Amino acid sequence: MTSSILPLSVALPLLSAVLILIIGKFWKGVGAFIGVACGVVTLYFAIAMFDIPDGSYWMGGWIPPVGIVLALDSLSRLLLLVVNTIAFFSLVYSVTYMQKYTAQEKFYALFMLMLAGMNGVVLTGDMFNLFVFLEIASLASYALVGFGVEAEELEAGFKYLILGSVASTAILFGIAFIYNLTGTLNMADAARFISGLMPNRMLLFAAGFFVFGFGLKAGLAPFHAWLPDAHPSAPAPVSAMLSGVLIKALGIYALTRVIFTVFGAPETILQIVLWMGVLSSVVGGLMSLGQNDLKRMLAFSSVSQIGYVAMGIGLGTPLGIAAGLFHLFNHAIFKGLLFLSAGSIEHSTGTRDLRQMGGLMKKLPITSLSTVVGSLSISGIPPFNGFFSKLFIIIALIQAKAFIPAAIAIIVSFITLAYYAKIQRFALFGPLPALFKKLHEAPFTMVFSLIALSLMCIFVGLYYSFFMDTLFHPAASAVIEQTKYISMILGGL
Amino acid sequence: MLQYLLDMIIFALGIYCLIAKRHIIKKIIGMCIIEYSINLFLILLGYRMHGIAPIILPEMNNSYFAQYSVDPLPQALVLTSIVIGLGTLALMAAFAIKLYEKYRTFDMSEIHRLRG
Amino acid sequence: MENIMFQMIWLPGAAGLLCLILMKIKGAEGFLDFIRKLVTFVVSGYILYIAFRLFLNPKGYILAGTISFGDLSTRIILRATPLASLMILFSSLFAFLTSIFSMKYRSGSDHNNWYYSLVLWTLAAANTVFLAGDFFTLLVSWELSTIFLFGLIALGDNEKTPLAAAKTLVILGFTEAAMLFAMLYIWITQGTLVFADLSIPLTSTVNIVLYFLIASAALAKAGAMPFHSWVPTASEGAPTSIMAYLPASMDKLMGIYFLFFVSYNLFVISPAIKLTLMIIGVITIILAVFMAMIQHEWRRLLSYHAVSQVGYMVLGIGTGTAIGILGGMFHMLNNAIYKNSLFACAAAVEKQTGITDLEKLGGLGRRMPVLFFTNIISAFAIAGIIPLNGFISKWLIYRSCLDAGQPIMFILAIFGSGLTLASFIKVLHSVYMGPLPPELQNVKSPGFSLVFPPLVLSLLCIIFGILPIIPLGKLLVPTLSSSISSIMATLPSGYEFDVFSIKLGSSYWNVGLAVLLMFLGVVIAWLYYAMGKAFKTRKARAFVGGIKPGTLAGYHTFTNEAMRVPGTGFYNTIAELPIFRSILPSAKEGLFDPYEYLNRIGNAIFVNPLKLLHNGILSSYLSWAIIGLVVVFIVLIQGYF
Repeated sequence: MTSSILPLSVALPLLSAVLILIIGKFWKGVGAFIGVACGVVTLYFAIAMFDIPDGSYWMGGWIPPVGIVLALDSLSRLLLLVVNTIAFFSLVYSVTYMQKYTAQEKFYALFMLMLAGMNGVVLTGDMFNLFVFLEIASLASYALVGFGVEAEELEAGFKYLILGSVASTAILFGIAFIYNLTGTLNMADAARFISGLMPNRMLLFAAGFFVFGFGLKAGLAPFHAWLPDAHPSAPAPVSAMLSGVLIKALGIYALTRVIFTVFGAPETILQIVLWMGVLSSVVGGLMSLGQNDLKRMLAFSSVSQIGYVAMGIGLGTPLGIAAGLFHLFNHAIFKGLLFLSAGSIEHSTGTRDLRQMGGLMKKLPITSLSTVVGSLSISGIPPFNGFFSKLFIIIALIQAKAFIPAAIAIIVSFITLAYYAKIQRFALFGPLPALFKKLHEAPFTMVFSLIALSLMCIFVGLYYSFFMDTLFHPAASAVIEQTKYISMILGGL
Repeated sequence: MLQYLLDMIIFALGIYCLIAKRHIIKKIIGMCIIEYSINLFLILLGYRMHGIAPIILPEMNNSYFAQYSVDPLPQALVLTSIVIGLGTLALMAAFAIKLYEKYRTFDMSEIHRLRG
Repeated sequence: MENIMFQMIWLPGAAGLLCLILMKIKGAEGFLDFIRKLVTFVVSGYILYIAFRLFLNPKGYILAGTISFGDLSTRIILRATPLASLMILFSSLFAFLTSIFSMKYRSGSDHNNWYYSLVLWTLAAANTVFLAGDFFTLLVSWELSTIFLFGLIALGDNEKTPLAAAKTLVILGFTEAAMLFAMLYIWITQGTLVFADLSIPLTSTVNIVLYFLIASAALAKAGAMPFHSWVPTASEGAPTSIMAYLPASMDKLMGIYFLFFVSYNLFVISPAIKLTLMIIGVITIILAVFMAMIQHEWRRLLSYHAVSQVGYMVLGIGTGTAIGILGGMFHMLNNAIYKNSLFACAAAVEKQTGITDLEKLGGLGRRMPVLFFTNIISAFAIAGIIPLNGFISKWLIYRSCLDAGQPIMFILAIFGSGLTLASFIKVLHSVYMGPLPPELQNVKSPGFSLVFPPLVLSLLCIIFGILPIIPLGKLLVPTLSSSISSIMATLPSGYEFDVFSIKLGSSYWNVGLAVLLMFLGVVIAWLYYAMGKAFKTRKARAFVGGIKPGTLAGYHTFTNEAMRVPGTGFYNTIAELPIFRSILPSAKEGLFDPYEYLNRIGNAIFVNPLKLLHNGILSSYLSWAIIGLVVVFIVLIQGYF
């Protein structure tokens, strides 16, 4: 039993979602207020988690494995921090950005549901509970993608919905297989049984379903097709959430948890994840090169970058996992930043087509600068954060004698540079089109998030060794030390 | 074993329906079939031939219950799963209606503005 | 000296930050701009001073810490070597001159806070490159200088700026990625990145690949083929003062210094690699100079020459002989000096007239005599005219070609030099001679700030040319001897770099004699000219078809403009040579431009098919997913059973 803020960081957003809907009936504009307040509190919780020792919270006081547990270890802490940071900045950004939409209350309610789902996924120690939270977050995100109810948004939302539901079903199949074999849904308890069972044909089926389901949620190739449709269609803060954290919490985190903690990291599954990562990084990178829609380019870039994360994690070495998680953290920051910047550009210019833009440096200095910072970070230029995480991943790959993935990782990082140079070229530099003479910089609440995230890009880059030591190495060892997790939850049981 | 195989066939049918049928409503039905297959699968996992309902009556002792009752946990899971399925179905139907308003077609293979 | 070395890095860094935070404030813009100029001027002047002190006493070793990635670690070292301090001396000189030049050139431009901070940061990054004692520091500062270059190009304000910035970033970034891979390989196999501890064995295929991966970054930075194409593109988009500062000077210093370092200090290159380098050099000389001849845009023309001159340096370094390396490194200094001056002249004219198209310029010699003079000196220096500095370095390179047994390369190098002269005659004629076009009647003389830097540099051209003892005897031979003592020991015995003469084995070069002969030649030419004047020629107005000039009907045919010979057509014959004619149209669209090829091939082979696959139909996406699932199952079952 540890502190009760574990369930609170799930329950609070859930409660806020309900409150927003109820109070919003009488008082328009309450959504932003409650939303941001809840964002602040959950961010505070996420930071406060670093003071709490590893441990678990028994829901309703039932002893595991009978009851549902929420578990806190270094990996969960890291993900909680990422999720709530990006959520906070997205919420602040939404305050002005969402004013052009009707039904703001519904937006905030859905946002809060998504946040609750993600926090739940990250904290839970029970597989079916994981599935439920995953579905809460997913359903909210389907609705948010289609939030604008324009043709493209609906189309993207429907594709995402169908593919996402198939993935969820596959995940549930996997859980059912595991339940059938082990008779338990508690991850730690199941892990105890599974270590004695491998290799087992049924378990392999379960593993396959998990790789498929979580891989699809993570947007790994060849399951990535929904992502470039869905992420650009959502409103900018939601795009930032989807690309920044949703694919990681629901995809990468859940995959890592299941593969490492429950299955004990079998070599073949790791190899599959590694090569899926390679494939995603190549496909995503090449597709980004061919895009003219700013947000669609960013979405394909997410496919590519999540491939890097998968490469690092699929390597299975301590350094590889730490590097993958570092890149996950960085990607959340700079992709969140880039999507918010793109939203700011769209907010001001009214277009997402790179070919119609130009010279925005003059009219939108802060947005442009934050775009440049994000682009340089994601292309891996020192001293920004992306450089260090990519370097770690490549070093880990070379050390593990995975030369082909390492070479591909470097080539893709060059491709990344090429398409981000394209953004600068078309959108930011050069003469200003006559159409844009009267543009104004985005309002403060939007700019605030941009500045804060840009500073984080630089800060994390400069103090990368501090972050490695305090966040990512502990998280990586939490991933690898399966027995520690088991004993943490089950204790002496 | 046979019942699991049949269940998998239902699952495969659902997937087939999703891929091969163009009509949005048929796709939604395919999605529902997939959900039924997983629900059925869960139930089958906990089912026991000639078992009793998992309710402890006053006259039962625990060992008798454990020996004869079906596994109650999957049933609880299925309830949750059905509720989630309901939510998904409602959302899909809403999307279908709105999509028809925008595209004037139910043919999903004609709805491909987002590509490349 | 350690103190000085730190100052060289943090001082420009901090001053740059100061310039950056002095943002636009309404009303105080003029004052802030003054502060920025002052800070840049004072700091770069001070750096020049301490660079000189460092050069006089080039010792120093700083262990700045250790950097570790996982279980890999390396020490971060800054160390001053004689060669590095020579480079720093020149980089500080260029920064100082740029700060003077920018005072007027950038007056009234936007984003000057960025301009000055990036100029200063570039200086800091370049100094770090030269001082770096380990590969990691070098790579990071190298990439930073690329980013600063990207930012500086982006400060240009025309429709070519975006492409210029993006292309520069992509090409340089590509080669840096290659270098990064090589660095990581070295790091993992050797366990350290400190240059002094690295021992890379001589002959293995892997090491040849590593060498070329690293050398590609050096070649791209310097602008040698096949990574040259960013230079001409950048020239039209970037502020011209930046072209003078970075691609013409700093990037040459960094690129060639590093090429030298990699070729002779880090690796010991084999004859085959030397030959490859020489071929790269010669091809660069010839192709780029041909491209330069047909340009009508001043900056673009200069940038092709900047590429062409890199060929001489690579050629010299590639010979591997003491004279060749000496010549190559000397040519690097010379080129940085006169190319900076040439770009500065172009920038000054651009600032005063707003024109960089050679066809539209003319007759500026009378309005800008000092600039005309500096431009003549720099142009003759780049063409290798006796007795300027370019001649001596080229002479050394020619000589080393013969020593290395490559007479064909010798001939091609001389041929390239001749074409360079021809092309600059065209520039000088088009810009400064002939009648002044009517649009330029009101052009004012450029002020001190625009003229002083090129003037200083052209004086340097003369000094380096007639006093070979300074650049060769004092600067280069001692520094190179400390760096590659075994190669420099092979200089012909009894070599001598005297005040006015050079003696290298059998060759002897006497400046006094040459100047005397030159002077005689000039006198004869002048006499000839005077004789021609002595017989009075009849001057008449142009008169065609009975229409009087000045009348309305004659207006269009007899204006000054129509009578002007712009000089851009001088070498149209070259463009019409049989071979060149067939490739010329595509050359203009980037025949020699790997960037374009990569773009097209990449699009055709990879991007477009993938885009077709993403056809937007739900069923196909689902079937990918299901196929993926099946593959995952198969792999899993294969893996275990």
